Amino acid sequence: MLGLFETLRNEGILVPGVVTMINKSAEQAFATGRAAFAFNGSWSVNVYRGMNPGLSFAAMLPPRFSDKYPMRLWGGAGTSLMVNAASPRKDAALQFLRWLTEAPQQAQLSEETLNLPSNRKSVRDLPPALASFASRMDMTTHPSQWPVVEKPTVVEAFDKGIQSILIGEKTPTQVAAEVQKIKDKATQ
Amino acid sequence: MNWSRFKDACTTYLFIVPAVLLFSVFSLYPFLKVFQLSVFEWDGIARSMQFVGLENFRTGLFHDTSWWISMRNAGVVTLLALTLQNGLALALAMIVDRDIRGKNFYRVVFYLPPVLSGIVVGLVWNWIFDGSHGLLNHALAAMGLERWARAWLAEPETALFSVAVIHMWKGFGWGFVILLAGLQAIPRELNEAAYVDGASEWQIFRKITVPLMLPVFFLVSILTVLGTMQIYDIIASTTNGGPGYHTEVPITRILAAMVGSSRFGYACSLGVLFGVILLAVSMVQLRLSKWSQRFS
Repeated sequence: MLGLFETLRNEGILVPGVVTMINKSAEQAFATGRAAFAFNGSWSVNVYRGMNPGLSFAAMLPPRFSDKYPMRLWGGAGTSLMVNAASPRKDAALQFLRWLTEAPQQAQLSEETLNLPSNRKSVRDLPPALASFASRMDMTTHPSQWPVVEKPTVVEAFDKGIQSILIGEKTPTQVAAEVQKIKDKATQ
Repeated sequence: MNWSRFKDACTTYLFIVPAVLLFSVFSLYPFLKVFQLSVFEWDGIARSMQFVGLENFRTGLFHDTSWWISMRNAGVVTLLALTLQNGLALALAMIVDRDIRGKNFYRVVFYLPPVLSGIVVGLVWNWIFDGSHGLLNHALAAMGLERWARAWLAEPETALFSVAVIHMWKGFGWGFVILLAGLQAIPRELNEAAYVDGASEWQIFRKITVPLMLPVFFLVSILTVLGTMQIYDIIASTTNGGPGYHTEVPITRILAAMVGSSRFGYACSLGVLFGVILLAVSMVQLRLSKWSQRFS
């Protein structure tokens, strides 16, 4: 997997400066046509419309690694609504949330904000880019569902390691070894 | 003690109670809490904390390479600030100290960068250093120097220096104001007498300005070291410590430990370590400052 970042670097596919670019700048690079592609989630449809209303683009999943491991999307839990069990207005809050997640309300939410609805019955007349995301809702995943939660030090080693690959400082093998070493240490 | 004196004493203490309370709650307690937390392992949420003694300090001192990389990076920026930033501040202060036209205008202009928000300054310089459409790359291209164009904040060879440039641009105004005040405190008669005696500009600078300005130089140096070692806002708005660890500084590491990894105890131990290092550096500088005062 880390080799993909090396390929992206070696092929000159990435926008100059992407390693330290803040998220907003990266989104602007795509919205203004300076970048040909971007890794992003369904919320980007709304963001790109705000940055460039005339932007024409399509969304697709990255290629699957193997038939055994289908590509899954990080998502399905963009905004979570919760009710406090100790609240004296618990029932009223639940009633409001049920109303909010009904099809008509969610359809209007999608139309107005270009975000994915939380109700399947509302998935209609979506713009093509958003529909691409909606069609893959069954493939979404979220860290809260994973059996193992990675230690922050391991996540940082991954992030910094990927940056090191992108600037040509380390090879994917070196980064993988370093991440493994930190993981072993963190799980001791 | 008679009643009247007792009443006076009570009144006096009553007046300082609000200040003592505020200081205790918002300064003293957090300060002592950092020391307490530094010997515990705690995620910042759990009700219980595990006492680990000096283990956090041992990890920071001997096992956390990124911490020492961040110290080195901050040291490099500090060294650049001490020399280039303060050199520029001194040069500009000496120019403005003369009777030049529009010197009040320059005083305001040079003092503007320090009062701007570090985040805003960082975002503006992001546009200047942008790898694709940055102003700097455009200027280089206009001068026929396209081969020098690069993503200044994203390449390991230039990222730290670029951050240092932003920091120096934002910070030189402080030194300028203090140095200018120091220059204006030097009696004009000394310079005029030296001129009459046939001294050159360089001789006046070396024999009059420098000795009399030594305490001011040390003050500016101490402020520069303390301010630069604690650099954070510019890093947060430009590189966020990247690429890799090339622009990580102590504050970003402390934050990474505290917010990123929920290791509050370890973060506090790094904070204590950092404080001790800064204190030691400041003490050395203060000693030198006192020595310079005697010398001057």
